[in-house]
Parts: sequence; C-alpha cells; structure tokens
Amino acid sequence: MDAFFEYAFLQRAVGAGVCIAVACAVLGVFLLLRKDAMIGHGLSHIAFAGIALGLLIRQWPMAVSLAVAVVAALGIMKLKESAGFHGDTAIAVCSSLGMAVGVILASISGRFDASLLSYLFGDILAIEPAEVVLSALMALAVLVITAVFYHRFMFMTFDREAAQAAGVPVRRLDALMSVATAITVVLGMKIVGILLVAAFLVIPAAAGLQTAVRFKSAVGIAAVVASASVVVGLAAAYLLDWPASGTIVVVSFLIFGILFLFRRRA
Amino acid sequence: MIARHRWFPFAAAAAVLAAAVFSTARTIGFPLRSEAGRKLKIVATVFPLAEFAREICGERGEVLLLLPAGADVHHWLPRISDVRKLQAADLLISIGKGLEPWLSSLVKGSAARTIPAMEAAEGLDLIPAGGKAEEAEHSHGSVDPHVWLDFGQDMKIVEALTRALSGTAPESAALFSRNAEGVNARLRRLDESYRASLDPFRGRSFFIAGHAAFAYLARRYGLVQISLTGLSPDAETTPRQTAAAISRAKAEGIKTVYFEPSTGDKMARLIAAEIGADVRPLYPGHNLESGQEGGAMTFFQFMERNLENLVHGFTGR
Repeated sequence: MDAFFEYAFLQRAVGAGVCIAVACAVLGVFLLLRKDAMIGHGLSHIAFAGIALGLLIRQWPMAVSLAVAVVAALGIMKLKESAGFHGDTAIAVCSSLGMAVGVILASISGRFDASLLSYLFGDILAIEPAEVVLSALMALAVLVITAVFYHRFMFMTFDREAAQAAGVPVRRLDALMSVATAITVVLGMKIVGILLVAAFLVIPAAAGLQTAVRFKSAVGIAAVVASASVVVGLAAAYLLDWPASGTIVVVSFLIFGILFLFRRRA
Repeated sequence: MIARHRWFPFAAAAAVLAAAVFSTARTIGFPLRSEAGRKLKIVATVFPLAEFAREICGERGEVLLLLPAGADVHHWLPRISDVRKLQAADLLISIGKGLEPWLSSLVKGSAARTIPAMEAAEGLDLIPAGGKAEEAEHSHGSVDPHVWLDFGQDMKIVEALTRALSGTAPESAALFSRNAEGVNARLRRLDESYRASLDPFRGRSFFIAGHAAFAYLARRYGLVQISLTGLSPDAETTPRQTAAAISRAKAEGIKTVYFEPSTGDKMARLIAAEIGADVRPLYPGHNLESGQEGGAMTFFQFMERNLENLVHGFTGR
C-alpha cells in the first residue's frame, strides 16, 4: 500500500473519487425516493449531445454540455409534472433524444472521434490537480444546499401535496435539485467517468435507505458507503491488478449486500 | 380504406422487386472495369494507404479515404455515403489483420458485386500480438496491424499496391511503376534519416502514454517501446499497471512522455509531472487529426515530425 503514498495519481484518485462519491450519494438519497434512479444514465446521454453541439459550434464544449444538461434536467422535471409520467419515462424520452441528437451533431461536425469521448468521459486514474479542487467544491456545494434546505427537501420528498399546501416552494426546490444533479453528473462524468457516477448516485443511497431508520442517518450512511467504496475499491484494484472503476463499483455493491443481509437478520 | 390496405403490401413488394432488378441491371449494364480516360476510383481505409495510392495513381485515379480526420480506426461507424463510395470503387485497399473491424460488414452490406480488394498486411513480416493486454478486437488477427510504421514494409506495400493497380488498369502499368519508384525513393530517404538520427540511441526506451502502436518503428531502429496499455486502444489500465509504467519510466531515465494526438495529452501530462519529464506528440499516422482535412500534413511530414520528437526525447533538443 506504499504506492498510495508514492504516486500522486493514486492520491488524486482517492481525493476526487471520495468528493464526487459523497456528492452523488447525498443527492442519490433524494433521487431514489423520487424514483429518479436512472437520472445519471439519462443525463450522461444528454451531455453527449451537449459536447457534440459544443464541438460543432467550436465553443467551450464542456460549458455547452453543462448548459444542455441543466436545461434537460429541468425539461425532465417539467415533463414528469405536466405529462403525468413516472420519472423513468421522462428520463428515457430525454436520454434517447439526447443520444440521437448527439450522433447527428457529431456526424455533421465531423468530430465523431476520440476527442469527443475524451471530453465526455474521465478516468479516475487520470485526474488533474485542478479537478480534485473542482470535485471538492462540488461536494461542498451539494452538502451546503442539502443542509440549508434539508427539512423542506425532506418534507416535499415524502409528501409533496402537503408540503405545497404548507407553503414550501416545491417547484423551485425541484428545479434546484435538478440543476445540482445535472452539474454533479456532468462534471463527475468528466472527472471520474460515467460508470462511477451512475453507480454512486444509486448504490450508496440504496444501502443507506434500507439500513437506516431515520432519514438523516440514511444520508450519512450513503456518504460513508460511497467514500469507503472509493478507498477500499482503489486499494483492492491495486492489490488484485484490476481496473479501478469496475472494482470500486463492485466493492460498493458488496457493501450494499452486506448491509442488506445484516438488516434482514436484525 | 380496407381495399387500399389490402393492396398496399403487394405494391410495396413490387416496388422492392423493381428496385432490386434495377440495381442489378445497373451493375450488369455498366461494368465498372476501367476504360481508358475514366479516372480509377480507389477507396483506402487508412491515411498512409491513401497517400501511397494517390502518389502511385497520379492523375490516373482518384483516391478516397474512408476514415474521416480524427476518427478512431477501431470504432468508426461507416455512413451511407461511405457505402456509396465503396459501390463505385475499382479497388479497395485496407490493412487487414483486424485493424478495420467494420470493413467486412461494410463490404457485405454494399455488395451488389464483388469489389476488387487488397489487404496490405498480406505477406508482410508482421509482429505477433503478444502480452496479456491483448483484447478480442485485435487478437483474432493476432498480429500487430500498425505495419506502416516500418518504412521497409511500406516499400513492399507500395509494390503490392502497384501490382494491384496495374491489374485493375493494365494500360497505365508503366505510369504506376514510375510513380511507385518515386514513392519508394522518398521512403528510402526517410528510412535513412531515421537510421542516421536514431542509431546513437539503439537499445534506449521511449514511453508512450497510450496504446502500443509503435512496435514496428521500435523494431526497425532498435528501440524499446514502453506503453501504458497493450495493442488494444480500449484496454483500461489498472492502478498497478500505471504505477509500474511510472516506475519503469523513472528507472529508464525517460525525459519525454509521448501521447497520441487523437486521444489527447492528459494522461501523458500527468505521468510526465510524476517523473519530471516533458510531453510531445507521436503520430501513429493512420489518420489525420480533426481540423487537418485538406491535406495540411502528408504521411511523410507526420513521420518527420515523429523523428524530431523522438530525437528530442533522447537528447533534450
């Protein structure tokens, strides 16, 4: 394990990995309760269209992609609300459209190439120092938003009508949650890759929700499970000589499984 | 309404049949053998083949490159316009040996006729794909397909191309072999300048922070290639592989980390920062980069740039 002290790339993997894992896990608890488990996958497809658009107009692909993902996240929210679909239908509609538009735009721009994918997908073993800082800021932002609006988020997540009647600005808070999710997914995907972001949004939250008795401890357990998955996963990947992302996801699933069995016996 | 629905399938079937008959008649009616005066249509999969074919044909032929600038040869998906390019082709030139996994289905899909084709890697002195990093994509050919990075092999490819072209258009055979001599003379000069510049560094290593595309170059000039991943450009590295590559680069005193421009320099910069080296591009040369359409760089220019960067890595100049 000396390697973790010797190589800066491994230290950055732990740092950025833990930050993004915590941000995703905290958001994930709310997303799972809102039946939006697939939002990570959905937004990643939409981000692809955003990158392709950015490459086509030759302006800031990452910024364009973020803007497109934010608009799409708000669109998914709107679609759920007014069309009366379940969350997964709205996500599926938007992500298919995103993928289709992305394929067309990439082909028109003639940039259907490796650079497109490198804009889209990061690698946890190739993280720049600035990206560690960005991950930390993102985690901080998510934690602050959750802490400030904690009671209102919880109220509207469990009983939307009652919250609305009680004067909670439900739609504005929904929008805030959607925007935070979109930014976390797109930046997280760029820094550590989509495999990890999609898993961090769901597995730790699922572990937290089925273990904890109180909502607050579900959020805490999710964050701890997510962080532990990164640290244990990277160490295991190093020892076993396995790919990092896949190992981290498998470890998070194993922790989920252990908590699941433990809960059943208790 | 019901009546209309009833005859619709028959009308559709008739239309399909008519289209099939028409397209067959077209290929029978207009044989695509070259006749004097018409430009030959050559389709090449990768950039070096297109460059060689272009020079050998001169004014006699028109060479179309399938792979668009910046596209990854392993993952590229053909478009409808590419099927049409193939249908009009007098000769299809590819490397083969698993480099173009999309080609066989493209040929099958567009074949109203058999397209005359040659595989450049056929009959060459190929390097077997070894090591544990091999992935399914390349391993079914089980040789390293990046053969154009050996200029001696390139000369053989030029000869084979000339034979294939002469078979397609025998009346221009003399022109083709005259042009081919010109290309081979340039390849020989390139080879000599590589030899002269790299001979002092025989046995030294160069580090590529990507996939192992430069084995032919390494073999020809007695260098050692260290790469982050194996032959497959998709293989994900493991933390330990990355750590091992970094220690080896340190131990060998690597001063320059190379990257493939098509995949970006991020990994190279990060590794260079760990070992205190600088970063330079090394072009596998199978393709132009995005934004280099319109013949901004020739194959020879890519290879000259590579030589400069390799020498820089050994000397710091």
